Amino acid sequence: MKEQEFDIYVRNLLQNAEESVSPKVWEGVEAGLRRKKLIPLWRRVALSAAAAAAVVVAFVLLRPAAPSEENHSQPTSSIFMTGDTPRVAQVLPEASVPVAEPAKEPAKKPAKTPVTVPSPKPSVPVSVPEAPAVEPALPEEQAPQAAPEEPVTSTPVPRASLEDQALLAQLSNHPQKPAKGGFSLTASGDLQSKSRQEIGSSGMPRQYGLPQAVDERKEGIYNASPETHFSLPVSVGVGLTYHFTPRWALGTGVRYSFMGRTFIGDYVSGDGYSITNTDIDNNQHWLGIPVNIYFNFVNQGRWIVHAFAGGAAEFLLKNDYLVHNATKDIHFMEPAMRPQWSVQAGVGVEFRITPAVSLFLDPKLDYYFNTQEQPRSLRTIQPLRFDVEAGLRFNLGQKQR
Amino acid sequence: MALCLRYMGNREDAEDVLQEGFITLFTKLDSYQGAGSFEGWARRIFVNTALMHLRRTDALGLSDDITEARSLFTEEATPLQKMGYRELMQLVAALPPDARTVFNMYVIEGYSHREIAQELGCTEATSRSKLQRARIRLQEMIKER
Repeated sequence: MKEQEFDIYVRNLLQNAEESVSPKVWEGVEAGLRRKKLIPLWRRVALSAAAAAAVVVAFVLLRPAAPSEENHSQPTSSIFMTGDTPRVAQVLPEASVPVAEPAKEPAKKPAKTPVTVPSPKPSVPVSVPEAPAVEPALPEEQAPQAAPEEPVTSTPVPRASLEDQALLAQLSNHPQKPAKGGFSLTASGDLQSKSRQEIGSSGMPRQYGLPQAVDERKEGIYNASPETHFSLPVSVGVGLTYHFTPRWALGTGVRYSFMGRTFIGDYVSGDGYSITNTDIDNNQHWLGIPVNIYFNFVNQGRWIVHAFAGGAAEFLLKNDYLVHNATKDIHFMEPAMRPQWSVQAGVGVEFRITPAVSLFLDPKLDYYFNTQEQPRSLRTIQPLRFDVEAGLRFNLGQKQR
Repeated sequence: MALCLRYMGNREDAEDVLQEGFITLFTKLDSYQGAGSFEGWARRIFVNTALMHLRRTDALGLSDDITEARSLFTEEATPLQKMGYRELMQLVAALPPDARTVFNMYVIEGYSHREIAQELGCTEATSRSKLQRARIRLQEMIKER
């Protein structure tokens, strides 16, 4: 028998043979998969939280702030039905409080259809001064006493207008924007823009490199291919803003950022052992201290629009590499490097949910300096980056203006 | 499992390789992009896992060995043609790990000597030499039966 015949005979006999497997192997596979899923689950949760935050921001920003035109055209007395009489009284001068009967009767049918169903007496006359003055609330008993003696002849006022005035009255008891000397606390998250370069499309499991003979390179991680897959950079942080004038403010805080990537590279250990052409995950954890100056140039109703500019110093807390080996993954930590300096500027919008709590959305541009001294990331390949920060601002200890 | 058994030579190690191979396969499933057959892709994962195991246990010991092995192949029919899978597997398992690995990679999986040299970190000549030794040793064992 010749060599080739021998090979073919052996191949035919062995190539597609099957062996039974003990059940413990499948149990081991399941257990191993559960362990492997830990990190991806964490990443999925982070992405889900970011997506949920984006949805909330979009909902709040796109939600209509006032009733529709149709509602405006339906004069009703529902404003009196809501149980907010004291607040309405703040808006309406004492003399203009309507007669007691029309006001009390609808109050028995509280706001089932306050907008679309006209009141039994649609022309309830109410006079509203052009510039509503804030006056102390009247006791409810006083209104009916004054009404019968002074017939009111002014035009009906749409419910929406009254609501707006009530809202204005409520807000007038609070600062429309952070007052001089006030502080605000922010809790926010960032999503940065991301470029994507996929791992090679060979379909072969290139990520499982094999150990090589002694490697003379210095201990570390080396890129074997320019192809890299970057995950979406995510940041969370808290900040404190000091409003030293009604328009100007200075803010600082701490910000944690996570950046991840997967690439094909080589790992060389301290003793010259190397694994080449293997799949490597790199997780970078940064802690930054941003300082920004803010200028509010629009302040209307619930909305504030501001411009801001500043900079940040970021420190690499942990630069962790996970070298995927067919049998055992290897962790490699790269020592900390110099701080990453950056500048940023943007224009943001703030929506006042309540007088004390605002929701803000700050799109901005960041520029990172000296990125060649830092571990490879989206910042090093594209130092000018677009970033959207969203969060809540809590107004603390402000003085009344 | 049969593939793992061919490389590892014993059931216990083969099951370890099978288990780790499946874990790797499932966790890296998204990296299979349809280029080439899935079977070939999966087979490669198990081969790599087996090789890593052998490397870790220093079973390969692939030093440069290019001694020309004397061929025992003749035109005569051999008892191989009367053997079944089980018997042949026992003989393959009895080969030295380094020769068994090269034999499996070349004869069964179809790697070239260049690919084997790349994967195992040895020279092509060493790969050829190990293959020839594996063949001869197998022939000897078959004749001894």
